[in-house]
Amino acid sequence: MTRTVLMSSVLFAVLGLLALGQEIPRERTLVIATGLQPSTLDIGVGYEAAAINVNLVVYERLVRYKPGSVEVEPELAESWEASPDGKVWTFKLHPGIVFHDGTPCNAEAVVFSFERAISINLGPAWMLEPIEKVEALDDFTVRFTLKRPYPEFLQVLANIFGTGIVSPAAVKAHATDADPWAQEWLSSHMVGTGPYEFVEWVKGQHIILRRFEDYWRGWEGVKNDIEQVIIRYITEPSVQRLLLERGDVDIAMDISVDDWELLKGRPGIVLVEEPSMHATYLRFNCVAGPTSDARVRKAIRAALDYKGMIEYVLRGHAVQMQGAAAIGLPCHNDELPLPVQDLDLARGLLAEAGYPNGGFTLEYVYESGHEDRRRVGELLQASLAELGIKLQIIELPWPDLWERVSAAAPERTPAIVANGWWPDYADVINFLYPMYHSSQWPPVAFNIGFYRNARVDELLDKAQVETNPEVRCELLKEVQALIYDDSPDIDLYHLTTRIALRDWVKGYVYSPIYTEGFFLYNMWLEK
Amino acid sequence: MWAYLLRRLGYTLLTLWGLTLITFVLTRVVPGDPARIAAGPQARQKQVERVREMYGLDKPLWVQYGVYMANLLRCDFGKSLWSKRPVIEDLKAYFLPTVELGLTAGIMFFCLGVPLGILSAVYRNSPLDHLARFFALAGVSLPVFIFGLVLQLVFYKILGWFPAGGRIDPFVSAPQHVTGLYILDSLITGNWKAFLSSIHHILLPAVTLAYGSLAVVSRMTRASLLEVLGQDYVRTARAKGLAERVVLLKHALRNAMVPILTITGLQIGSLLGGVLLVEIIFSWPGLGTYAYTAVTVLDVNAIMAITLITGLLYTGVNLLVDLLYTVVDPRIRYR
Repeated sequence: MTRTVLMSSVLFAVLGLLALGQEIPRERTLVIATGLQPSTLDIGVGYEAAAINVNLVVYERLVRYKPGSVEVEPELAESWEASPDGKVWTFKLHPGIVFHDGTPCNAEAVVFSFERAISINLGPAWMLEPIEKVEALDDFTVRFTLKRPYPEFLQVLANIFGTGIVSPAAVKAHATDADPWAQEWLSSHMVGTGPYEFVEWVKGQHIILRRFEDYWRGWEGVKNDIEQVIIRYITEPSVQRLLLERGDVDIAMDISVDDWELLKGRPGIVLVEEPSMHATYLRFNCVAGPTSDARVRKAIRAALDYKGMIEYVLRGHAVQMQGAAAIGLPCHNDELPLPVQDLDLARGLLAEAGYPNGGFTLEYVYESGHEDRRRVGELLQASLAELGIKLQIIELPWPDLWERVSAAAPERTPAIVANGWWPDYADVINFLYPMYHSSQWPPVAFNIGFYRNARVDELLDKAQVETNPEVRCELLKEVQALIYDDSPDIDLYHLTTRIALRDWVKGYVYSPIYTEGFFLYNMWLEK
Repeated sequence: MWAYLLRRLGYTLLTLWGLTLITFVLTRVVPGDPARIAAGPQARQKQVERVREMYGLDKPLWVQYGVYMANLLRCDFGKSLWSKRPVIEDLKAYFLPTVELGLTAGIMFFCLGVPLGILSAVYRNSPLDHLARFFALAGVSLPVFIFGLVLQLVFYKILGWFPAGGRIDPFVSAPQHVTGLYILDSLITGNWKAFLSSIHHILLPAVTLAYGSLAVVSRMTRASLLEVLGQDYVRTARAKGLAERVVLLKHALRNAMVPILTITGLQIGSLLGGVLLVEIIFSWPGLGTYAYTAVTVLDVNAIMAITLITGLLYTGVNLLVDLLYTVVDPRIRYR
C-alpha cells in the first residue's frame, strides 16, 4: 500500500512537472530572446545597443525615426520650428500624454529630462553638449536655445539614448541628497510614456513589460493584441534557436550564421536580414611607420580581396562599404568607387613609395570576440604576403586594445586597427567628425589613426554649423571624397542584422537606426 | 579546538587581505583605462575625466586602496563601473543563483557519488562496478559544455521534458525573497508553483555541473573504502558476527570518509570554475556571466568583489572540511 502511494506520488510529481510548461497561457505575450542585457536602464546614462529594445517602447522622445526609415517624424511633439539661425528650436507637445505613474507629461517634464541627462553628463550626454538652455514656455511648448547652430539637432533628438522623457515625479520620489537624479533607482526601473510600461527586471533572466492602458495614442482600432512582453536573456545563440523552433520564444535576436542556414525554409519561421549601418574599418596609423605614406595605405587597400571577404569570410551576411560613412544615410556620397582587389595597382603604389618588394612588417590588431575581423586579417595577410609585406595579427581584449589606441602616442599605435562604428543618429557627420577631424585625435576622441587633412577639417567645421541642408550635404560629400583619396582607412563592410521570428508575429518593421528595437505598438500576434 | 578555529579564522582573514592587495594591484596595472570603458565607446575626454573622478580613479594608488579597504570594513564594495549600481546590489542578484546552483550540484554529487562508490566497492569487479567505472570515466572526460548541450538537445528539444534554460519560468512569479534561493524561498512561503518551476529549471544545469565531480567522488569513495575494507578491524568486526551493513556503514565508511571529504571540498572549489560554462549554456543568471562581463569591461570594483567572495567561499569550505574531519574521525584533534 505504502509503495503504491509512493509510486503514485512520484508519478503525480513527474506529470506535474511535465504539465508545467503547457498550463501557462501566452497567446497575448510576445517573448523575445536576446543575448544582450543592458548594464543599466537609466535613460540618461545607458549608452549601449542592449538597451534599445526597452528604451524604444517604454520611453518616448520628442521626435523619432519613422519605422523602416531614417526620416524623422513626430512622437511626443506634434510640431516644431527652428529659428533662421538654427539656434532656437521650439516644440509643441501633444496634449493629454501621461506617464506610466499617472502624472502628466508636459513641457516641464521635457525640460526636467534634458536637464537631468545634461547634469549627469555620462554616456549619451556628449550629443546634448550644444544645448545652452531648455525652457517651458507654457504647458505644451518647449524651447531649446543652442550655443551654436546644430544642423543635426533633430536627428539627435530622435536618437534612442539620453533623449527619452522620464517622469519627474518618479525621479523626485526616489532622489536622495547623494543621488539627486535618482540614478540608482532608475538604473533598475523605467517610467516613461510609451505603449508598454516596465514591470520587472530580474537580472540575468528577463525584463517584463506590460501594455500601458492609458497610452496617449489609444488602443482602439489598432491590431496590437500584445498585452505583455518578456525579453529573455539567453546568452547562447544555439539555445535561442532551440527555443524559437519549439515556439517558446517568438523572436530570436542572435542566430549564428550556421543556424541561420539551418533555419532557412523551416516552416513557421520567418527570417529577416537587413544591412545595418554598423561599419567595420581597418584604420591605418597615418603618422608613424610605413602606413604614414598614403601610397602604402592605398596599396594595402588595393590588395584586399573584397569579393572573397563578403562571399567567403562573411558568407554573404554583409555589404561592402562605400566610403567612410554608412550607405543609406542622408548626404552619403554615392559616387565614390567601391574598391576592388588589384595587386598590380598595389605593386605600383608600393614601388612609388619606395617599397618595390615590400619588406616590412605591419601589426594588425583586432578586438577579442570579433571573429569576422580576425578572418579579414587572415585574408589581408595572404594578399599582403604576395606583395612582400608581413602582417602580424594580434588579438587584444577591448580594454587592452583601447589602451593601445587611446593615448596621444602614435608610435605606440598599431599600423592597422580593425575597428567598428555605429551611428547614434542618421547623419554622416556622426561618422566623419569624431573619426576624421584632427581635433579628435586621441585622447580626445576617435581619430585613432591620427589622420589630418586641413581641407577636411575646414569643411567639417563649416558643416557643423551650416543650416542650409543642400549646402551642408555638398560639404559632407566632399569630405567623404577627400577621405577616400587620402585612404586613412579601408572601409570594409556593413554587417547585416539577422532577426528570426515565428510566423505568428506580425507587423515587424526593421529600423536601420533602432536596429535592436521593435515598434511594438504596430505589431500583433496571430496564433 | 577553539584556539585552532580562531587561528584558522585569522589565517583566513590574512589570506583574504592578501587577495584584496593582489587583486587591487592587478586590476590597476593591467592595460586598459576603466574610466574610458565605463564612460562608453563614444564618450568625450571630459566625460571620461568625470567618471575617473566619480570613482576616485584619479587618486594615487595607495589612497585608492586605503579608501577601498575602509569601505570594505563597512561591507561596501563600491559602485560598479558597468552597471553604475552598488556592487553589493549586483552581487545579491547574481551571486545567490550561483550559490543555489552550486549547492544543488554539491548535494547531488555527494549524495549520489558516495553511494555509487560504496556499491562499486562492495560489488567490485562485478558488471555494476564496470558500469560505474564507465559512468565515472565519462563524467571526468566529457567537457561540461558538450554534456550540457547534449542534455539540452535530448531533454528539451527531443523529449520536451525540461526547459532549455533560465532559473524559473518567466510566466511564474518568483517566490517572495527570504534567502534569495528560489527553491528554499518557495518552500518557506508555500509557493508550490514556483517551487516546482525552480526544481524543473535547476535539474539539467545542476546535473551538468555535478556530473564531473560525482564521478571523482564515487571513484574516491570506492578506492578509499576498498582500502579500509582490507583492514584488520573490519575483519574483526565481521568475525564478531556484525551485519555486513553495519560493518560497511559504521566501521568501514566512517574511516574511509577523510579522503572523501577532502576531495569533496576540492570539488566544490572546482564547481566554481565550471559554473561559468553551465550558466552560459543554461542561461542561468549567476555570478559566472557577471564575472565574465566584469573582466571584459574592466569593472575593477566588481572584479575585486567577485574575487573576494569566491576566495571567502573557497577558504570557508576548506575550513569546514577540516572541522568535519574531527566529526568523522575522533582520532583527529586540533590544538
